[in-house]
Amino acid sequence: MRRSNRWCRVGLAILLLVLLALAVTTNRFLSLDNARAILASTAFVGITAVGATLVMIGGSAVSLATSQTATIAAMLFLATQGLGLPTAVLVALVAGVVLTALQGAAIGFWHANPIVLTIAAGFATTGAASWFSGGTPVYPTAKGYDILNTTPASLPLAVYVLLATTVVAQWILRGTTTGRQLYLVGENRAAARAAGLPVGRLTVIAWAFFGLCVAMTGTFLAAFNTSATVTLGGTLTLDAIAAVLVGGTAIAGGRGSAVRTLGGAVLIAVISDVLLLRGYSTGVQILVKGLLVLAVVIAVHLRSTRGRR
Amino acid sequence: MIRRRMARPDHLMPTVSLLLVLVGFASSPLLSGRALAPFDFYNALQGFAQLGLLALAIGITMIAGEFDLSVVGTYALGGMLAVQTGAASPILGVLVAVAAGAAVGALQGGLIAWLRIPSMPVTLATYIALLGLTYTMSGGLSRTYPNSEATLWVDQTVAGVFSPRSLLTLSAFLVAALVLGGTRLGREVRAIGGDRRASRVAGVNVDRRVAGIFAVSGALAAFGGCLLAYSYASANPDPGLQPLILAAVAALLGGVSLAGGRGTPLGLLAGTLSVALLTHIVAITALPDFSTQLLYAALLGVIVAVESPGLHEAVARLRARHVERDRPHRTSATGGTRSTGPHPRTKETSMTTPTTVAEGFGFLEAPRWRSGRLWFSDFYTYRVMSMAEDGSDLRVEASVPEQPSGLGWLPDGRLLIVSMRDRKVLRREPDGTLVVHADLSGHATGYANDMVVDGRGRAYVGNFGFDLMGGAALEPTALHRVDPDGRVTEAADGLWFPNGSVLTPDNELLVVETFGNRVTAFDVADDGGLVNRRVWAEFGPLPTEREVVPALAQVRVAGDGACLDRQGGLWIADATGDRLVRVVEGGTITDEIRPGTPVYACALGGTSGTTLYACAAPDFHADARKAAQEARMLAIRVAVPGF
Repeated sequence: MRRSNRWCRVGLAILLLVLLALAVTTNRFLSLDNARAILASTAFVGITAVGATLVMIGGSAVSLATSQTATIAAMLFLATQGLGLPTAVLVALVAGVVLTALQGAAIGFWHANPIVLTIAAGFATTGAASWFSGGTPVYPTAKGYDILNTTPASLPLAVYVLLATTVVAQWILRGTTTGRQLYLVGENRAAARAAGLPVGRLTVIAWAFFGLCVAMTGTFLAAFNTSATVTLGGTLTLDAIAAVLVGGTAIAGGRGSAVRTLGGAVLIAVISDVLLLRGYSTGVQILVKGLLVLAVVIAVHLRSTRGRR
Repeated sequence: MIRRRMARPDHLMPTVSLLLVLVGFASSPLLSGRALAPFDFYNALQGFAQLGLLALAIGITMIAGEFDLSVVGTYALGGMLAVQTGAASPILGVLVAVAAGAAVGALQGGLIAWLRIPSMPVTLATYIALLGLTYTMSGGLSRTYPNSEATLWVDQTVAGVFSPRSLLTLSAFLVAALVLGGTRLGREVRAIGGDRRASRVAGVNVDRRVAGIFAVSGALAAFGGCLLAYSYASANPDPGLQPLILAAVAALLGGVSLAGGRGTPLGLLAGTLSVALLTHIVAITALPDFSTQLLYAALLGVIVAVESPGLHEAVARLRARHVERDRPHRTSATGGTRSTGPHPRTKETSMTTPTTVAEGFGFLEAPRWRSGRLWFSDFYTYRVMSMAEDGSDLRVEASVPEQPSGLGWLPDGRLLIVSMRDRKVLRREPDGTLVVHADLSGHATGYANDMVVDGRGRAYVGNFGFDLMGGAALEPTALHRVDPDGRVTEAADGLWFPNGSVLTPDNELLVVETFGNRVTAFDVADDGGLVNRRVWAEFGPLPTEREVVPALAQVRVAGDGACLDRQGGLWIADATGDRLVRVVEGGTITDEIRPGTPVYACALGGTSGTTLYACAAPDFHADARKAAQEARMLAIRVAVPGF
């Protein structure tokens, strides 16, 4: 275990050093504005990714309905602007929590396959969203949402929400019995169930928290875009999974942390930023992101399996 | 009946979905007011061609127990490569694209097989990287394909309803059906998906097969991308996730399972046709777009329901409760004689599936068959009980306030009971009073637990070794011998949670070690000493974790109670595997029974000796078990009788 751990640390250190060298030699990288830009670009995906961390640690892999849930939260948020900002936020968050917690219940209590279930839920959510919106964009009826676009101390509000979400998620995972039990459920579901852990309830809690995070991203997306179409969620689903994986959380569950996911999201943003500043195309940025995910996935896997033999 | 058909969802699912969709297609004129024309079939088949190769690509990886998300990246890359290299010669474009797809697939498949890494995160990474590569090649823009001859050729009508594109796609399915259905390779691929470890043991070169499957999957996806790009006369660098999701839906409707080992290319064909026809029905009947999505959601919902084991259990429980309400007794027939009320009748029931013979207990352990009755302990109602073989005539034999566990009998017929928390062995005198037979409190380092008593009245008693319910760290412990006079001697040490134990006719003592991944054997010497210690069966390495739940995660068979049959087979209740396994010396598992619930102990008994009784409960957590009376005694018919 120690040897492969050291290997991984060395690999990670080299990667970070190379990145650091590239970064500091990149024109305009070391500026406050750029740091802000990186954080701002991390925020939307980051909030969702922190939520997805709990789902992955708890052993129910990933949701393929993330974009769709964010979209429906965004639509509800904009459609209910007339009721005042707090009500609109509440409606969006409750919708996200309920929709996602229901999926968690089917996975936790019925042992439904998360992939199949969330594909189904994605279709149902998008279908319902286009039904209610009539396929046209949803526009807000009042401008209260603008508060979400403010930038206290020159940082977007979403960045503060991201940091707060990370702190809360980390506290749940490390500071509460629920969190510690979630790791055990992810490690071995059958053993956790045999030991009397409330596997179903823990799974629902993880998914409900994830739903809350997705809905928060959806609200910020809605406020940012000032309208919502069925494609608003965009590539959120895979971007969030990529951030969780780069943070070193194992897809099979039982290992990972919210802080590391935040690190993963920031790392992806930093690399994209360096490539952008050095004049590389979007294509190269995506390519490097893919290779980064691949490298981390392999490193995490090697560490966990070699460590056990 | 329903269950039997459900048992083959790989046939049921594609047949039913295709039939449903065909009926919908045939009746679409009712909504559209326009008779079906050959053109409708042509269009539906074009839709099939667009999705088909992608569905086949992801489907075969699913049959082999993998999940290739990267197919949609290969699909995009294939289209882009074909468009950029095949302007002059479309064939060259196809060759380049297919070669690239196969190479990417072989690379990631090799990585997945060699490192034994889950395919989903790897193929997700590959997908992102391929998307980036395709973007880079095209500058992020759609690239047009100037060879209009090729564009016209791939979509020209053949025999009214086909096109070269749909025919090529169909033939890919047929080739896949022939290879997977009729060759050893096909059987191997399904076996790899079903049970990879067993395939490896059986000598299948699993790594090479997995790499090969990913190569084929990549090649098929790239070919699909080429055909699409030629047909559209342009290649899109980012098709989005939608094609992937639709291909997965087609594969799932085709009866393939994400668990692997199940499904056929013809099923995949039916699934893909269903998706294509469904899309086309919605188009010709001018139903709103969202109805397609709601239909997919409904179809997948059915799949989720059919394939969720927990939902099955919940339904079974509800049904059982319903049946119970109509019954006068808490018992049900298991074979042999059963009396219901004043009219006794004889009923022989097949017990290939478990029957509940008695229920409503706290947590059952230590079942023993003796003098025509089944004896057992209930931890949390603190009683030792016995009952007739069908669960009737339940009697309380003893009350043990400090929690009863292992049972046994002295040669004179007096009952011995392990009292767990005070670590004593109690003896039931002929007048029914309980006296202390032996005190292990100065010896056992955890709760005293199971026990086996030999023909001379010597009892071998195991203990937890640590505070299991209090969440303490694992410790190995000793096995103690209690002589007929109550004297306690340490008989063996270094055992990881010595649990169910049996004595063989050859005077061997077999001890199941719950946290040891093994069964340890001793020869019982004349003086009762345990000699010639050896590993009788090994299920895996000793766990390295010392916390209970992580250690349980490392245990392949968490052996709890056990019993011996007349052919030397040891039935063990696997406390975390929801199963009973029959193990022979050396560790080979010859039989496995999955009763659909966790089981913690077992005994062979019944008039014929072929009833395997099993103690079932939702878990072994003390608080939860005290709070609810959910433990049951199950009965299952097996082939080899016990003693």
